[in-house]
Amino acid sequence: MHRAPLEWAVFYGVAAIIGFLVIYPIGMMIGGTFVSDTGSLTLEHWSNVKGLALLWEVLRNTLIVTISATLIALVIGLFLAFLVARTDLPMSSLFEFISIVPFITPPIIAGLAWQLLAEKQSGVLNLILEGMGIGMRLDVMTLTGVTLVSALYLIPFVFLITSGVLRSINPDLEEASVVTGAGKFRTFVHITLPLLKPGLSSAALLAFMYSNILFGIHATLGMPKNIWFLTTSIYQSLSVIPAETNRAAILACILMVFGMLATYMQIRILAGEQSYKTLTGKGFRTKLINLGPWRWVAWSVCMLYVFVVIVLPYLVLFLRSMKPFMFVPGMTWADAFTGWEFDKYMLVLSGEDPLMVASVWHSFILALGGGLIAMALTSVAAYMITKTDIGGRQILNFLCMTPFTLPGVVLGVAILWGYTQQAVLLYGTIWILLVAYVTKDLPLGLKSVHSSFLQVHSELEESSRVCGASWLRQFATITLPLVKPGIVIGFVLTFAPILREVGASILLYTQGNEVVAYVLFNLWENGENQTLASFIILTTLLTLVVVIVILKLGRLKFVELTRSEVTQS
Amino acid sequence: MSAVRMENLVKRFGDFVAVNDVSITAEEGRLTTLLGPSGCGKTTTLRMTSGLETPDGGNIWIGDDLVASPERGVNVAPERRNVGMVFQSYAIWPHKTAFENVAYPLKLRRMSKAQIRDRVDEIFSLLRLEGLEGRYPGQLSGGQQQRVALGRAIVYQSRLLLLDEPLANLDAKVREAVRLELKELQRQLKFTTIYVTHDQAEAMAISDKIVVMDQGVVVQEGTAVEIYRTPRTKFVAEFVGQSNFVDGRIVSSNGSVGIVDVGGGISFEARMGAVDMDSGVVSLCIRPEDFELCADRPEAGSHGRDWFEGSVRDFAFHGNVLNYFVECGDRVFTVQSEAASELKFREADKVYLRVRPNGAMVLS
Repeated sequence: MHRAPLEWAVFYGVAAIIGFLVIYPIGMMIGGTFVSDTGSLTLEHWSNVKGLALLWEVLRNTLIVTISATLIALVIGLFLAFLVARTDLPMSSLFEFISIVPFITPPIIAGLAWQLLAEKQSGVLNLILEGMGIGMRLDVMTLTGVTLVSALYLIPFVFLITSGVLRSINPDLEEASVVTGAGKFRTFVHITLPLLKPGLSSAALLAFMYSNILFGIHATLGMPKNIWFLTTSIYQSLSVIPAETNRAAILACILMVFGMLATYMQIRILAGEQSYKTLTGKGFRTKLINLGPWRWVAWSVCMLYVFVVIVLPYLVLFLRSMKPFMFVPGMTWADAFTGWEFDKYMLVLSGEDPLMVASVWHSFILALGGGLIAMALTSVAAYMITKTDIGGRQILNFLCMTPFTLPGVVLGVAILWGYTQQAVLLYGTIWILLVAYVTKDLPLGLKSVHSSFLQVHSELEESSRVCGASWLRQFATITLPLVKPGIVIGFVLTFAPILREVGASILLYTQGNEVVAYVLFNLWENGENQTLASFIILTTLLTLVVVIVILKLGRLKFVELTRSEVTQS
Repeated sequence: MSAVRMENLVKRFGDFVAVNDVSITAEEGRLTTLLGPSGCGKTTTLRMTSGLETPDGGNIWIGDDLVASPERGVNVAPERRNVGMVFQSYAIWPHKTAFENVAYPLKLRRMSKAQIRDRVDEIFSLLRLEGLEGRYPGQLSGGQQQRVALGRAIVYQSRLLLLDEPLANLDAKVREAVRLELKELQRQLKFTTIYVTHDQAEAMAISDKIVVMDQGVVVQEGTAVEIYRTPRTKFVAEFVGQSNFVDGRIVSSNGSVGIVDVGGGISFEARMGAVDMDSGVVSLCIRPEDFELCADRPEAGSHGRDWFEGSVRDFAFHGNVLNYFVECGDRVFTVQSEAASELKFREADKVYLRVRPNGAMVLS
């Protein structure tokens, strides 16, 4: 196809920006670990790290939590997916919302809520147990606690992938097996499970990858009890004075390798999945298993999950925000629901603490700007990847997806290394946060527009060219309107989490450029729980309002978020 | 409207040569069809004409303008070639109404609102789409979508109309009706048209000229009658219409008609076509309707028009056509019966058949 110079300029410009955003900071960070203070090449930083006794404990904690949380999430996620996708579970469409739980409750908020719920002395659940005269006590601030809260958080990812696969298995395949004489059970073992295998392993690796990056949970539940993970160790290395930047970089490299290994394996599995073409066919009705009277039991199980993962955390945060000292032994139900005061909400809203208002404003603008820039970059990138035969477009794809394997803290460390250099000195300004958010948004942005672009038949664009439209005109009048839903969803999916992003933000903010995560962290460290809870409730409401407004403007429904392929990895 | 000239076009996709030294001329005001199986290079040729693909070699002229010539560094962008094109998927934009779809090329040409209104109305009534202006593509039937796509391609009076399998996505019944309309419209408005299809019946019904392509090269071109009556190769004979093939040895030839011995003491009189030989082994093509069939042993035929014996193995009734499959030794011939409505023979009946005068064709 004939390409105008403008087209080339846009393509190469975008590719160059993305390449720089991704390669430069990571390269600086990795390279930095091999350079001594005097500027010569050295391995001394790496050999020093081995000596740190803590490292082994940190690695052990990280692996124990990630692997066990992944396994728990796999079992429960597959079970829930099976109920929703293959049985006559009542109100099953309601449970589709399970898939956007992480989107509603970021890890930091889940961690804070569970600390309020199941802290050993004053956790609400423990007070209830005491009130019921039961001797057992929950303690969420242990390895087991972190594992379970992580698992709750990972279940939606497993659910989303496996329910999609379960639903897309052509029932003919199973019926063919039943007809040949295999029973239902043999059919499940010999036909259904093998067909599920690629989906399951893909879900497992995705869950494993996510469990590594739950900085919010690791920090809130682990740090106070001196339980350290890779994520929190990185943060800690940088928060001591003087900051141990080399140690942070090396830990970040290790964590990055975890993510890359998982991604690599996932790509291998997904590549193999191409041979399972039957999975992708649509347009058939899956026969639902009749649960009989058990369907209400199954329904209760699903409701219990929704209750534990959404209702309980927000309920406790809400109650806490209303009362100065609510969690004391001997408290009754009536006490919890009376004597509410709104003074902390007033404190947040009045702007008495200018930092709070400023941080919300900063986060809001940064999330909006970061999301917009990322969507602009990834829209062009997705166009190049799906619609052109330009050489190296797969590299561009890889580059865009790379930040996906980087936990926020690792990205934060890399960006610190990269943008404290004289040539691109952004540290100390608000722009470093913008750069961090744009970089972090690239994978989600690309994912969401990529599938939309694939759905646009190239003849729709070609016909516009033949009619007399230039490439730019065609892109603006045909391509963009057709992929708009994907762009809006991508924007929402990047905007909402960034508004409350913690990992990178707490490493990169500086005085005068505070963001929401900083205020959350600060209130939490000072133990100002009532203000903290009020602040969380208000920012969550703000996020929801903004998301709904964006969806309204884009003429999309909230449900469409749950259907977006993006969240599927 | 003007003629199109393609010279020695070459297009490669990696190691695969999609179009290999193709030269085609499309006459002004006429409908030229590129016919061939999928992967023969016909669509690629069409797309090079529109500018959606860039040739690796050769020249393309539209009228007097050279629009593509890698040797001379010429490659006019598709939007500057001023051609109209209908795509196989119709490619009408789902986010625009039928009116907006047809108006789009006029808007690009900076016509005034009133002019656009008038011109689109004209096209809508020409294509019998009145009343559907406000509909979105999803609310139109397949045939209506097809007409909107056609309207969009002709609304701006382009000098060339390109059609890429425009009827392939329609139901059989609708397809025939739309084909007729398309032909009428083309005759009436006299666009120079290049039409791509893999459907030989469609090609024969609609074309002024058919260009048969296979594996990236042009294998034969001519009118529908020429292609059907005098296929030059086995590929063409097989692809266009039904054929029986027999190998034989040329006994004699006067240049235009030869006698070919097909073994068993039987010889056929055959048109020599482009073959210039008076001996040697050749392949013959005989159309099913070029056999005569009778129940009783007739008198011996003249040399080259021998009767030979066979037995009916099976038959197929198609409504307007009745075909017998007649076993003669180790050959099975498909023979079309003259009286389609009555079944004259049953399985295992003994029959006699011979080739009609000029019924067989020597292939090269």
